[in-house]
Parts: sequence; structure tokens; C-alpha cells
Amino acid sequence: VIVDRRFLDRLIIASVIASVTAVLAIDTHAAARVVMQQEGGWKGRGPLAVKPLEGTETVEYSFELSTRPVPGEATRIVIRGVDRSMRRDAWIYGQLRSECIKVDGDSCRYDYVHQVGSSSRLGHFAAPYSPDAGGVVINLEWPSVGTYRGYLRMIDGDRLAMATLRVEAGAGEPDDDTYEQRLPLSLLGRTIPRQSSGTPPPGWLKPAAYALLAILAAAGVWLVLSTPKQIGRRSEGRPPGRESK
Amino acid sequence: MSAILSAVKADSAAASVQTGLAEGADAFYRMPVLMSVVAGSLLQIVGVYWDIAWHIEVGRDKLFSAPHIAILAGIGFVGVSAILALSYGERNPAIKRSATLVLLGVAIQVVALAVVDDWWHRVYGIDATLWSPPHLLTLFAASVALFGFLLGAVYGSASVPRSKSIAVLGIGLANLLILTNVALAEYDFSFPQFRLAYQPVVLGATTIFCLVLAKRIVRRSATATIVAGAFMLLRLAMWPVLGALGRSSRPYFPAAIVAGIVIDLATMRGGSPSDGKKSETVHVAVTSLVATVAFLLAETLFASALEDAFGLPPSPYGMHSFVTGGIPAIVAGTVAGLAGFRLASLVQSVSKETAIW
Repeated sequence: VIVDRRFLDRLIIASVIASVTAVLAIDTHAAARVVMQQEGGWKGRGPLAVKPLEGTETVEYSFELSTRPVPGEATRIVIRGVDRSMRRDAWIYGQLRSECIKVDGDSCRYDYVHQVGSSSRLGHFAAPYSPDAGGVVINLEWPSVGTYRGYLRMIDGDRLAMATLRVEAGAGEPDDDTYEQRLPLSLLGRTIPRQSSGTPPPGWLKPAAYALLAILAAAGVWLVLSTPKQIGRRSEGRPPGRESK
Repeated sequence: MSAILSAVKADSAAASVQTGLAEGADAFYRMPVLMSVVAGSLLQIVGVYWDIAWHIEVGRDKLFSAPHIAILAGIGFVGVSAILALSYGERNPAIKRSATLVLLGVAIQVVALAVVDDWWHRVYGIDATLWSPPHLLTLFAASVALFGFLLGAVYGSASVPRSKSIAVLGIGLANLLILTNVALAEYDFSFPQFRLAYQPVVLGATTIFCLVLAKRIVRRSATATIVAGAFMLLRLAMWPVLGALGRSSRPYFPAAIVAGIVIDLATMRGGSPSDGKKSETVHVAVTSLVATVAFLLAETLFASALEDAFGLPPSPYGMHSFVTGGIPAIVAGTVAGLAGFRLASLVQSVSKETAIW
């Protein structure tokens, strides 16, 4: 296999344009879903509730809890797609901590949830798609009774979704019931218009920006490749060097 | 300021007369230039990771937040280094071109970050991603600026002691690896905003590109390993730095040293044909492919080990991302290795002293 160097140069520039254009196409696809809808307020029943961001479109996912959250026992939460199955490289992450526990004066102490099998100590949890479960499985332990708040983010294909999360961990023994419900998550599309401005940017703006970026990047690569050649020509093949020994 | 520049020019001319070399060829090795570049690069690296941790823990508040000021100051220092280099080598076309490239990169960075990015956040809100057009443009412009510095350093390498040129180029190339890996910072902080399959693709491409470039420019037996090791140490240093700045987030850093070792070993074992032969391209392609596979596989183990040892949040750097992104990542790493090889060949063409490296 012989690769011509001019071919390599063209391959580099083409790769730059193709990469940026791919991001453009994917991101624009996600951004196109962002519309202004009012979806405020907590949604859900039982121990788990979510609150989508106001002013965003939402998409529903199925949340299944293996048991009522109880300190000392792990709760298995399975999140699955509703309108379509989850993508194989889906990923969910988030954080949950208790409400402020007053210690002395105004200072607070927080209890953090613990994900089984993780060494993270600040309430972070994350998990990939599990083909066996047909969704993402998160096992969480609750250090104390009380209300836990935080957030959940999900990357599922070209979707970026999130919601504020609230979980009630109660006293007593875990029950045998499973809690399953459909809950809405905000579709971010990485482009939330500021609430103060109210109006989303024009749809063509983002594709145009990425297209301009692709052109600038290709021009930059061309500049980077051509500058050494120009220096070589200017120096007439005689760049500075040590005297030969 | 004009008095300082006049002194710089006189100093440059005197040095050139003494060494008998092209005037100002060593412009990028002068201490003020090196100090400005190092300070500027460190400020930018710390600023970027500080800014992302700030976004995650605090949110984006305003243009002149503390991390943004650190980044802009870093860009300013790099700009100053280019102006100084221009002054040292004002009669040297090669230095002028290299310094101009640095200045162009700096100018685009300033416009992209201080003007376009601020406007972008006002239009699209606080939840924009690191892969937004202004952010990507800033990263790309920073890479162009750093390339200008490397080009000037390669050109002037024969006019300074060999150990100095190797050290400066090594630091510059490690800096390039850090800079290109900034693109993955959201994954590093376990806060990804794009699908996981992209992460091994970008990781493989940026790492193999930089390490092959380093290996071909500084032809020492352990160049790629040392550059990758320096990259990992600098990234690890972000942990105490972010802690000192009041942030609790600790970004993951990839096991790039595995790729470095493979690239060094492939060359040491006599598999690198001499320059100019077509088979050299094939050798680079095979080396890049093997290095990418070894690197990405090692990454899955390293991510798990780091999480267990230091209590990092569960990381998206795992087998699950490589299951979906592994094949494109191996292709990207191989193509990137060839691109690094080609760029190194072009860079080397500005100096006849390649045999010393």
C-alpha cells in the first residue's frame, strides 16, 4: 500500500471538513427539537419525581424502582425508552444529595447517595446502557431518611435530556412493590434560549455557525501545511544549521 | 515599550554576529519568549479546566469570571511571546512567518472567546457545550498558535544547544497534546453532552496525531513516552490546582503513555525505514493502528483503576463507549497518525538538522 503525500494533505483537510460537518448535522438535528413549551412543576408519584426545565420540549422515559428507597438497602432504578428503544451507547449521569441538615448555626451537612460499585463519595452516579435490562440500570444506596435532590442527565443517541430529581427515602423495611411510571425529561439539544429573552434563535443560525467553523478550520489547516513550505522556499533550502564536523 | 523592543533588537543582532547564524534564528529560544509561552500556556490550561469545573459547580455567570480572566491573560502572554519573537527575528523571514502564525492564532482566539462566545451564550443560554462553534474555534486557533511556536522552534533548533532544543520542543509537543485533549474535557469531568461513541474517536485521533508528530520531530528513543508522560503529569496536576481554587471536580486523564510506549517500541525495533521511502508511510500507518488499539484497550482498565483509587465519579471512559465507537476510533487514530507523520515531514523541511533528533 503506497500513500501519496499530496493525497495525505487532501485527506487531512477533508477529514477536518467532514468531522465538523458531522457535528453540525448531528447537533442541528437535536437543536431542531427545541421549542418553547411550558412544562414546569414536579411530575411523578410515589418516591420518585422529576421536574423538567421550563421552556423546553420534553420526552418521556420509563422509570422503574425495584423497591421503596430505604436507608441501608440498595434501590435498583431502571430507565428505559418509551417512544423508541435506547441507543446502545446511551449514558446517564447525575447527582443526589440530602436537603440541608443543620449542624450548628447556619452551616449545613449533606448526606450523599452512594452508587453500588462506585467509589464516588459526593453523590455522583452514572451508568451505561445495559443490553440485558434494555435500559440503564443504577443501584443507589441511601445513607439516611429524608428528601434527596439533584439532577439527572441522559445522552441517548442525539438526545441530551435532563431534569431535576427528587427522591424520598423513608424509614422501615423495603417493600416488594415495584414503582414504575413514565416521567418527562427536558430535551436540551444543547441550546436552551435564555428565559429572559424568551425567543429561540433562528433555526439557520447554528448550521451556519458550524459551516463557517468548517471553512475556517479547513483554511487553518491549509495555512499550517503551507507555512513550512513557504519558510523552506524563503530560506532557499538553507535554513540555519551547525557547521559540519 | 519601544525602548525594550530596541534593546531586544540590538541583543538579537549581537547574538547572531557572535554565532554566525541567520539573524534571530534563535528567537523562539530566548528566555523572555519561552517564559511568556510557558506562562501563557499554563494559564490557559488551568483556566480552561477551572472554567469547566466552574460551569459544572457554579454555572456560567459572566464574561469576566475568574477562569475567563485566566484564559484571556494566558492568550495575552502567548501574544506577547510572539511580539517578542518578531522583535528578535525581525530580519528573519522564517521567524517572522512563525511568529505571525502565533499572532494570527492569538487574534482569532481573542475574537472567538471574548466576542463571539459571549454573543453565543447570550443567544443560546447557559447550557452551551464545549463543542459549540466559538469554543471549537478557540481551541483550533490555540492549536494554530502553538504550531507557529513549534515551527519557529524547529527552525531555530540548530542555533541553540541540542539539549535545549529537545527540551523546548518536548514541552511544546506535550502542550499540543494537552491542548487537543481539552476537546474531551466534558467527558473527563464525567459531564458529557454528546454521545459516548465520539469520545474514543476524538481521544484516539488527538493522542496518536500528537505522539506521532512528536516522535517524528524529536527522534529520540523515548520521545513519545516522555511526551505522553508529561501530558499525564500535567493533567494530574489539575487536581490539586482545582482543589486550591475551591472546586471539588477532578477531571479524568487518559493513559496516553501506553500509546507513547507502543510508538517508541515500534521505532526502536528497527521497523522505521529511512526517510523518503514509501514503506515508511505504511510503517507509520501500522504503528498508529496498533498504538490506537493498545491505548483504547488500556484506557478501559485505567479508567476503572483511577475511579477505584481516587473516588472519581463513574467515568464514561469504559468498554461501553469502545463497543460502539471502537472501530471508528481505530480508523481515526490510524488516519491521525498519518496526518501527524505528514505534518512532521513538512515541519522538518524548515531545518536541515533533522539528523540530530
